This record gives sequence, C-alpha cells and structure tokens, in this order.
Amino acid sequence: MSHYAPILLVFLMASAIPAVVWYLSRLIRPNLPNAIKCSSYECGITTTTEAREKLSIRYYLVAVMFLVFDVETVFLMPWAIQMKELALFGLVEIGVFLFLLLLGYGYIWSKGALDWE
Amino acid sequence: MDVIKVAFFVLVFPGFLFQFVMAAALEWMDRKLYARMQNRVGPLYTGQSGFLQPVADLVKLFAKEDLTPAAADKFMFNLMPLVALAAVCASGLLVPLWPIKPFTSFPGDIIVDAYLLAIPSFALFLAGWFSSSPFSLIGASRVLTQLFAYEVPFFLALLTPAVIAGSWQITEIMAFRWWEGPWWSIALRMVGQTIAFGVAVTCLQAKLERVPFDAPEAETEVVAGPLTEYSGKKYGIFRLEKNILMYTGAALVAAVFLPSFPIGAILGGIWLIAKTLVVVAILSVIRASFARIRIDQIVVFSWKYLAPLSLLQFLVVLVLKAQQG
Repeated sequence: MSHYAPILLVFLMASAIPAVVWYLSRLIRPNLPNAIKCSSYECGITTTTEAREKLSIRYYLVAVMFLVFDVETVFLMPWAIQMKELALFGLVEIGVFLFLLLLGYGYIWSKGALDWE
Repeated sequence: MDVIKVAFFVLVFPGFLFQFVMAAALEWMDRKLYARMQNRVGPLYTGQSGFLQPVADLVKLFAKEDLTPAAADKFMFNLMPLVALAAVCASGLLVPLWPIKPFTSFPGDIIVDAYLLAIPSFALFLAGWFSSSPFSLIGASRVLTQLFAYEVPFFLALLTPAVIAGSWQITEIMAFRWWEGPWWSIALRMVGQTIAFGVAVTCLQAKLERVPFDAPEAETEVVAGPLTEYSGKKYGIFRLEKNILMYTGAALVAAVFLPSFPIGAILGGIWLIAKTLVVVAILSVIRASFARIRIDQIVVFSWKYLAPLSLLQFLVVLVLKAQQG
C-alpha cells in the first residue's frame, strides 16, 4: 500500500493548487450579477427550449460497445503485469480471449452497429 | 521525506509552476505554428514574438466577473473546472522529468497516468450536463461519445510499450534497452511501436478535442459545446487545463513511444522535453491540415480504423513475446 501513498498525496496537492488560484482571482475581479447576465445562452433571444432533451439512441449503442472493449483492456492489464509468471500458458489464454473478442467485433461490424445511417 | 523538497517538487519543478510555463509555451508554439501554416503571423505584440500572449489571455480571463447561470447546478458547475485541473496537474507529476524517483515513480504509474488523463473528459461532460443549457448538453453528449470512441485504442496503444519493456513503470519503460536483441525482435518492436505511436497521437488529438476531432466544441454548430455557459475564471481554468493536458499527454506519449537513451538525468529531461515538442508539433500539423469531422464520423473512424490498428499492433507484440518465450 505504501507504494500508492504518493498518488493520494499528489492528488490532494493538485486539488489544493486550483483552489488557491480560484480564490486569489477574487481580489481583482468585479462581482455584480443580475438576472440577465445569469440567464442561459441563447443567441440573444429569450430561452425557449428545455435543456433536457432526448439524445440519439446511437450514443447508447456506442456506450455499450465501449463498455465491452474497455473491460477487455482492463482484463489485458493484469495479464500483462504477470506476463513473465504466466509464460506460454497465459499467452495462449490471452490469444483465445482476444480471438473471441475479435469474433464479437466482427459481429457488431457485420450487423451495422458501426454505421450511423 | 523532506517537506520542503516535496513542496518544491509539487509547486515548482515538475509541479504546478513548471506545468503552467510549459502549457503557456506549448500553446504559444501551437498557435505560432498553426498561424504560419495558414500564412498568418499569430500572436505578435505581447512579449518577444507574442510569447506572453497565452499568459495575458489567462490574466484577462481571471480578471473578468465570475458568473454562474441561474439554471445551472451551482456546486457541480463550480467544482468541475477544479476537478479537471487537479487531474491533469496530478498526471503531470507522473511525467519522469527528473530523477526524484521515490516520490513520483511507482509500479503501474502508466495506468494511473492514463486514467488521470481520462478524468478531464468526464469533468467536461459533467460541466456541460450541469450547465442546463441546450448547447452545453449537446456538447456534453458528444464529449462522452468521443471518449467512448478513442479511449479503447488509446489504452491498447499504451499497453504496447509496457508489454515490450515488460514493465508498468514509465521510468523503466524509458530505461528499456530497445536496441538490444536479435534483429527480428528489434524489427517487430519498431513495427509495433510505430503503429501504436500513430494511434496514440491520433487519440491524443481526440482527447484534446482539437481539429479534426473538435465536434464537441464546434463553434459553428453548438457555440462552445460544454463550455458555452463558462466565462471568466472558470473558462480560464478549463483553458489552462486543456493546455496542461496537451503538455502531459504529449509528454506521456513522447516518454513511452519515442526512443530514449541512457544519457543521465539532466540531459534525459531535456531530451524528453524535446520529444514532447516534436509530439506537439505533430498535433499542430494535424490541426492545420484537416477540417472538422462529424461526431458519427469520429465514432466510425475510431471503431473501424483505430481499434483494428491498435489490436493489430497488440498482436505483433504478442508474436514477439511468444517468440521470446
């Protein structure tokens, strides 16, 4: 665990720096908000549309594909770290794993999940 | 550990001040190159050849009034720029510029760095989402879709040098003696590394949301995407974050893909900065040579070209490792 203490320290320090920058700039800037300044941007006219609108189903499809293949890379990492210990056995196993993923990849490609028409 | 040393480390040298200077210098270089390639002169008046222009822009933004739209979620809207900047600053500390090894370098830091580099995109998505503006929301959904497209190839590309070197520590990957071994293994390493470098640079461009991958911030379609409602210091912090991201991302790619030599700490640091400049120059050339592509084209491009390419280079590395037994 002591290996990973620096990450926490680094992240805490890095969070403190922007916070300091944030409050320092308060010394030089004006602060006079009003209703018009604080309204949402809409090219100069009064806002008519709601912000929460329906999103294209394509976004969800991409998200699902991403999940599968991101888990793939997450699964590759422990193997790659233990590469020397697992030796040829691990290599064959990861080859089979990649082959199965390639089959799935070919399937989504042939089904047209990658085309947006 | 010596407290002053750590404070100096985090605040000055590879830490915030140095990152700030690098970010400003790289933005100046990027703007100058971009302008010259378009037959313009670029920044000219602030400092020598406009060198201080990025700093001047930032000071101007910080002196502006700080506004939060009434419709936005105040807490998240104000928090997101800080999260994004904190993540890139932390990732910048992992760039091995200086041999203060026990503090920044630990096994697996390349994975931590890759994840820290992914956080700004999520922060940008949340920033757009909590702005509660139609433009911001469309931009935010594009940010996330783009992340889904480029993240897998980027990770697979980063795996390659780590697997070749058999280590997950950036300093050890850099110390790997790539010129040793039989000729075929060097050739396979070169092939794998070259493809992976191409994929990683393309993904870095997408990560930075620069042309041709700037659909999330397309100013002719969605004003400024997730940053539409941001102004003043919050916009300034996002801008600073983008520039530091350009520096740390380019430094990571330069450190693990471009060749390193055992030439000592100081020369090694200078060599790494030189390599970083090369990567940023490549990014500028890409930005100057292409036009914006649509979000669906980005997704199709990364799933049909980048992902197979990154798998291909990974298979090359597998063959190499199988040969070495």
